Amino acid sequence: MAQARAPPYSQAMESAAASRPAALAALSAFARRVFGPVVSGRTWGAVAYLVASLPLGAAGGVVLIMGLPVAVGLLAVALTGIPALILVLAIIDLICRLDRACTAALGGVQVPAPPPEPLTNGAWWRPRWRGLLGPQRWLQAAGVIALLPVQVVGGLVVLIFWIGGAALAVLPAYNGPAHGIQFSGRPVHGAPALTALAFAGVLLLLAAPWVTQGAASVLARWTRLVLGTSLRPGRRALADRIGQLEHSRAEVIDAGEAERRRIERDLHDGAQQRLVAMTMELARAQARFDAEDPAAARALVDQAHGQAMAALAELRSLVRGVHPPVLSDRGLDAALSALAALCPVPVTVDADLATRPPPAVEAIAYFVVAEALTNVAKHAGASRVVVGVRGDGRTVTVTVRDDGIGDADPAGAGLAGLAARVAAVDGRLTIDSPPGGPTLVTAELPCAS
Amino acid sequence: MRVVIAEDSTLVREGLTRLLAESGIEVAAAVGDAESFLRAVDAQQPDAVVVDVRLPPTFSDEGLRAALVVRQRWPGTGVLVLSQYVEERYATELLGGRGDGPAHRAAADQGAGVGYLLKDRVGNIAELLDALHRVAGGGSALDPEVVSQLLTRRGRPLDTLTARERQVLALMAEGRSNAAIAATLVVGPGAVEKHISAIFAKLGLPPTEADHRRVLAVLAYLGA
Repeated sequence: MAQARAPPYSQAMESAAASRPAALAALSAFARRVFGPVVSGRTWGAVAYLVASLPLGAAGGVVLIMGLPVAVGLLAVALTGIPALILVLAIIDLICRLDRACTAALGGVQVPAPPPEPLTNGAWWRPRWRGLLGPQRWLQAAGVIALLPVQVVGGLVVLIFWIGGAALAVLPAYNGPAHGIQFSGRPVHGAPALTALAFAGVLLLLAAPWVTQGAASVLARWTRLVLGTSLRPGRRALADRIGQLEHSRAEVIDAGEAERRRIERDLHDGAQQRLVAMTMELARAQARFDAEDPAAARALVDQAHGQAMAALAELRSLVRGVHPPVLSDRGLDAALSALAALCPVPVTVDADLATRPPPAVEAIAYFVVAEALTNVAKHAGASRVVVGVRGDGRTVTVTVRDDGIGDADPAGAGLAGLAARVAAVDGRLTIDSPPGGPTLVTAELPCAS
Repeated sequence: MRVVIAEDSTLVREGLTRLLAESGIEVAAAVGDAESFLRAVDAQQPDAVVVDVRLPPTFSDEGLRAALVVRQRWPGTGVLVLSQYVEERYATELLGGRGDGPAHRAAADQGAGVGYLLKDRVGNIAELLDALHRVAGGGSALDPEVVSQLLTRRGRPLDTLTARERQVLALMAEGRSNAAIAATLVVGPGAVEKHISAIFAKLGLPPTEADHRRVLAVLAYLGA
């Protein structure tokens, strides 16, 4: 019986005890629902995004509206307009980068940057020219203009909903002049009117998070649309590119085949013949031993020993020519130092690589330097050579400069083979070697991933 | 015996000249390219020639072609071709076993000695001299590596042979005489003859006595 009565009793006690915390919990849940968005990180991220975008848009607008006419005007007068145009577009490019960074960090939307211009498209100046004044840059300028109205609206949203809302909400506390305050050109006074305005302010503030996040989302998507679109290459450009790729591929295959033949020849004429000669000397030594002529046998063994040493040296240099082990073990800097030490002309190596390039790029950079140094030693009559390697993670630039007599032939077998290898990774090899020197060999190797 | 050597690597040419000279063979001439080789053969009329397959100017198969010219023009001269790599295709061209042309067939019919060895074999004087004497005497000397290439290429019919018969067949294809085969396998000459007739019967080859013709028969059967 006691057990039968006990549950209602304890339940009643519990509900009485729980009623106050339950009410509190409901209240705090309601408060969280209503005020939570006002203080959430997402909301303030959106506010920060809208606030940060506005000056970027304004700066872009000002640069374009003021800079472009000036640059075009200068263009009509003299060629000084071209640097001015380049400058305007470079500033726009910087603003676009900031816009993208801002949209990624605060708006939460990744905006793809346009791909770099391919290095091998036509003459050497064309990719650079397109990089500075090409259609992609003009597209960015148009994007900045298209972005501006949305950025302005975003700024207005922040202004009206947050600053306006807050100002109205605190209006009753404002100790204004007795005749009331001006609101939209009309005097407002009396408690009811002020209370109504304050209430409107609170409503604005409560709506602000949603409106802000919405505006931020619209701005982020719009930014991705107008700044994340890269020009699709035309049919003609694609056909050109395919032609280049086919050409460079064929050259690489030929160069690879020629390289294999060279290696086979080197092995056949070098180490293999030495080993054959060595076996013959040892066979003759055997015959001498059999004939009990140890002195003659000894001389033949010495000869064979010399052949073995020479074969080892030849194999070593051949292996270095195929792929130097130190290159894969310790990287370009170490491999180039070894190469420099082998060159009869004094070589200074100045390598500065932010990150280690892909193995294919390392190997090509190495062979560019190896071939260039071989040429310097053979033909240039130089007294010193400077090898420079620069890498920023996107491109590795290799330079070999000597103070020799110049007049190098880019069509020569060695340099032409190098150019094919460099072109295979969409890089470019330039040889500047006027008669009388100096010679500068430059290879730009993109580190495509 | 008088020989003419054609070998482009000075190192190997000098070594070979000394080695042969020390073994009592007269080196009538030692040259570095195919053209002077043919002139030297014409002038010296040697008993045998030793030719490297790769000779200038293209370093492909000039030596082999020069060897074929010698076989055609001076059938009495034994030809020993040395090569860094042995290829059964080169061997069959050299032996004329496939009948690539009337010249080859004529040379084969006249029984001129011919040999084709891996260059490594020069490290074994006895083996080299044995091969040289065989080709000078109108016999053949095929590198075991070529023979094994031929034996592995031809598959199933050879499965009917016993292991010992296959050994005998390989030695026969190298150009060894019955006596040499018996010595190599440490058996009596009668046993070798028995094996050989079993092989010829199993493969349906006409029985023959002369070493060189025997090699040709075997090679012809092997599809060379």
